[in-house]
Amino acid sequence: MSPIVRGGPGLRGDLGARSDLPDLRKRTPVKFSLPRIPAVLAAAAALVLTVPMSAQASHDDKGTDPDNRNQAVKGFSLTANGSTAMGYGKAELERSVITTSWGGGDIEVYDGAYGDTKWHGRTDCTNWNALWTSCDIIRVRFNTSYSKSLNQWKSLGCHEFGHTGDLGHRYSSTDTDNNSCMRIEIWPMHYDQHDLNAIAAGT
Amino acid sequence: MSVPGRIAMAFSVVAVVGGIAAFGSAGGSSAATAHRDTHPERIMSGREVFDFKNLGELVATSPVIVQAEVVGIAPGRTIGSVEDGGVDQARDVTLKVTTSFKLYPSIPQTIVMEEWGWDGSGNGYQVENVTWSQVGDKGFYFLEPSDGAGRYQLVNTQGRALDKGGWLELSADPKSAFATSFYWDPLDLVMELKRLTDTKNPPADLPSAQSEPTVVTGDAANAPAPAETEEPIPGDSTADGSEPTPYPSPS
Repeated sequence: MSPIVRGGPGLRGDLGARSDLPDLRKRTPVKFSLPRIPAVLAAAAALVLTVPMSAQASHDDKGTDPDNRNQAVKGFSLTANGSTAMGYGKAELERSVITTSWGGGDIEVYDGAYGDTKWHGRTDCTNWNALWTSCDIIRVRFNTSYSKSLNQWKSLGCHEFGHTGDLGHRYSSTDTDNNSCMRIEIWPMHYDQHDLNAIAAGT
Repeated sequence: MSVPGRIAMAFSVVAVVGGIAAFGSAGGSSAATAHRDTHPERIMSGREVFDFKNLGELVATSPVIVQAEVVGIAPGRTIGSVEDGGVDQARDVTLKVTTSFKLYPSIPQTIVMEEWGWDGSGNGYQVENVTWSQVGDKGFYFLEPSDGAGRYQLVNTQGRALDKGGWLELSADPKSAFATSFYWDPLDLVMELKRLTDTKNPPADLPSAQSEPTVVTGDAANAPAPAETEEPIPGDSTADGSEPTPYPSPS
């Protein structure tokens, strides 16, 4: 996922060397300069706070950008299959630049008989960071309503945990050797080097 | 503090409070249960049951295909629980059917399609590339009955093509084989769908429907999956993840 940048140089206070702007650094401080600072900061904060809600829907179709490369994984009342998928997905993610551990606060895993929903697994962000640029808590859900083999469960774990590493889907046109678990129509069980490179680039 | 200073401080408070209020009303994690976002705040990814490579596969697998206009949207059923990872609420999208390509004439003139949705806090999300429907949308919908009584759902996230006035906006991932093989405009698509769904003269090039996975319930849904000796992947897969697909991919 490309980072979402909200606010330009003006919000960041970086005037750089633009000749069309006055050099505020050379200004003589005015009498009421101190109260103006919180006002400007507040206005900037308000602007930042009001921008995000319309921006997330314009995300590209990749996965969820984690807020760091140390991700704690926790399962909640999982079935044996859900545990298998979680453990396998965590191990696959460990092959990337992301370090994983057991515990709450980053990747939360659930499973359930969600019904004939036409999906095996889903991943989304339930708690964004303050600027909505990356995700603090990522939720993974596995659907137990569809019968799957053991290796399909593992492949599914690999797939959904790939989304937690900001991976999108792969297709036959970009995975000609059919070895990425980010495919949809087949069940490979690993990330290929393309995926591992993409996690490194995207997180 | 001087008067100008107080004024500046007052503005700062108003700005902060206003910003927080705007955030909370339009996408924050407010605990207000009655709150529902008017726009999705995030995208949900995942692995679907179906992935169609072309229009023929989509047509063959979809039990219901209609051309329709969105005439109403309302909050729909709620499913899930905290134990399942949270509550989800559907958006009931009312479609006024103008043309039925499959199951005619048993498809009523008005049907309700479920799309997702809101979470338990009313925060909106869209699934993959399926943007939220809007009243007035016109397009082609590839549907199947949903778990909701009398309701339908897209057969997968590739199952919608909105008529944008001479061209079609697909809900499929633009990088997918389906999207890259799709070249019809609205008028051409009508003709193609009539051809592909002609029961009197079934087209020879219509592929088979993709197979449905086995739905299990009760204890069967919780039973450990049987072990396999073979990985469920094509024979030409390198399988071990060590064979690098060039990055970035050439295509």
